[in-house]
Amino acid sequence: MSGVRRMGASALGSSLVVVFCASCATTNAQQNRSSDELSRESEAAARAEGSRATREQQERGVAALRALLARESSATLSERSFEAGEDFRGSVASAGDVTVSRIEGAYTVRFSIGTTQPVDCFVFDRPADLANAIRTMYERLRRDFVRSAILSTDAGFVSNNPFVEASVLYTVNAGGRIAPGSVKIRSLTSGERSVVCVHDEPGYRATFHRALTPLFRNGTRSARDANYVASLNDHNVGVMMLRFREEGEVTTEVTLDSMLLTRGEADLTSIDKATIEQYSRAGALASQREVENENSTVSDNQWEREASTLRYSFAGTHLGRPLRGVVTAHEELRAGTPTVAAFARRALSSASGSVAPLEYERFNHSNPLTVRRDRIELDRREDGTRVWLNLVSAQRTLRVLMNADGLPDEIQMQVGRVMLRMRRSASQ
Amino acid sequence: MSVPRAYALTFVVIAGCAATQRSADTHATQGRPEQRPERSALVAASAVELQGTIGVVSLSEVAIEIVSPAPTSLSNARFEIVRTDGTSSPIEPVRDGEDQTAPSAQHRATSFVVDYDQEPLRSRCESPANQRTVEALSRRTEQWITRKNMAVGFVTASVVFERREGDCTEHAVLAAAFLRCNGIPARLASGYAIVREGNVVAAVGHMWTEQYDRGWRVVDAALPSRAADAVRLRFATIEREGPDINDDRRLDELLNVTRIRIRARP
Repeated sequence: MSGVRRMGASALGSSLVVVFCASCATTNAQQNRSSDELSRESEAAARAEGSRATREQQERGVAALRALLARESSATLSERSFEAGEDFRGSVASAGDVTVSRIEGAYTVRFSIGTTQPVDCFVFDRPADLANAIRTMYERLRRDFVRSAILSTDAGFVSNNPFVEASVLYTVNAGGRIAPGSVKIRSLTSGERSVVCVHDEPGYRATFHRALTPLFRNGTRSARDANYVASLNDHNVGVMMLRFREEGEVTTEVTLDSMLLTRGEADLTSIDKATIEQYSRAGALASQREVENENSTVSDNQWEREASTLRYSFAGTHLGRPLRGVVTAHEELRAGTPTVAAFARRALSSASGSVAPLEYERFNHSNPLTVRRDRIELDRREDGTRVWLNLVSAQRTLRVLMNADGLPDEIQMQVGRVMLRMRRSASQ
Repeated sequence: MSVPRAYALTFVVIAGCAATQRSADTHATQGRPEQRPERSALVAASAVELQGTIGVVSLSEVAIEIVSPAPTSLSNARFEIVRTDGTSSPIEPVRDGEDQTAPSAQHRATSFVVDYDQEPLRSRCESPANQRTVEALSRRTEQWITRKNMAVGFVTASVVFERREGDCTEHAVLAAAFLRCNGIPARLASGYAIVREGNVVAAVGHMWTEQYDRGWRVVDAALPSRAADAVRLRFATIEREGPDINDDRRLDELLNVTRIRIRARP
């Protein structure tokens, strides 16, 4: 996105360059010494001294950087409306005028939040997947970076509309010198439009959030719908939205999830997925479709039941490879949410907490395709006024805090040092 | 409703991969967790000092603790894994030829993951007779994958061959395909790679290939032996090469590790 300026780097003080060049200094210091010049002892002492000095320089640089990242704008932000084309009218909280310009495939909305750099928002003509939009923007910006590292990710909901965000630290070559900078990239849904906003300046995270809040239009949600924020070790990484629609005897359940996972120091993996399940009131599965966009590679998988039979067909891709086939189940396959929710409700209403294990068949991506029998055992634990259910299967143990409406308020899954949490979001 | 797939994919989580991460560092300490004082530039500022307090979770790397006196090279070091529950146990690095388990038919055959029976790989996996050595096939893998990055989740060998992109898992499955296609038994293994460059040591989740020649021997196209002083701690060999490869819960053990302790052999 060439419209994004790359000036944030110059906004950082030169003291920070010390942080980024610390290892170069160390390397140079080591290269300049030789065993001919110094005895082993004095060389070791010199190296230790150099290391200490380097560490002190780094600590000062890191402290300065941390201070920059913690700052917020004191400017008064007022809500200002703008139009991006004929069919999009939005608002942002700005410290000045809002300018709109047209680029290929999007409108660029530029405004100030009272900082050195403006915020640039791109209102796209076509829908974009939340997480993939962030990764794509980051990859475009990254072409100008000498190095970059993902500082943080965030995710949440405003007025029932989801957002995901990444904050990146980078260095660029600025006229022959290496200069550091930091950029925040937020992807959000406003009505039916996808918007990506960029602020190329360290800090101002809360100000950035405040400035974009009016951009979220009131999203609709029925009483049965639910939003979740996903976190890994308490760092927000994604969102999940559950939507239910009932027509006659058929319930359509749509799960939309988007998440950003960091891989290594500087790589982002984006996963956006829509799962659409149709099932009867009794929870018998009629069809299941998963459309997934992982790092811009899209797969479309569909299971479908042949009417009045126990035959289910599959067509799609798996691990990048086409996969298709037909399997015959031993019983009606059941949809996950109504089945597990009914199981959990029985446990909640049971005084003793003893509930017979749940056994059901589910699809199995084997070759050839099969269905397999899963068994879930349940353990009920009371924690003050809350009741946690541990759902134990051969694959995982999920700790679930159920709500009376049959949907979880929180799901926890611990795998070694990693804790996944899905927390239900009260609409903000 | 389902738990998002990404969280069930241990491969996504562990595959920090030595292929694209060779910059982390460690210095000898007196049994303390490593503070990584000289980690190169940006990483020092962000990944180490800030990521922990501001946001990002580093899932692929585990901390290194080098007990003084530090070993002169990884090949003469002893390793110990420290788990989330505080327990620890020694683990031997993979040594070529030490595992004498005879290869099975699966180690010679095509599978869903090592799918050299699928185009476009099928018609091009066989190398000329003078290029069928393990070294040549490893080099072919390394050179074929031109975009070394972590953009690919986990895909089969034929897909890797087509996309020419990926991290350690992509290098591992393609190398296994090249080896088997050319008559050399091969298997996939996963665990941690410990890599040292100068005084820089890092431990990252990793997958590599092993070929059988009077015992199993490492073929690591993502981390060629000439590139660095490196050892591999094998947690599992991948016997399930079907579409359900990600259901292998033994890989969870990788996430139970919080630290790898390294000390010199007496």
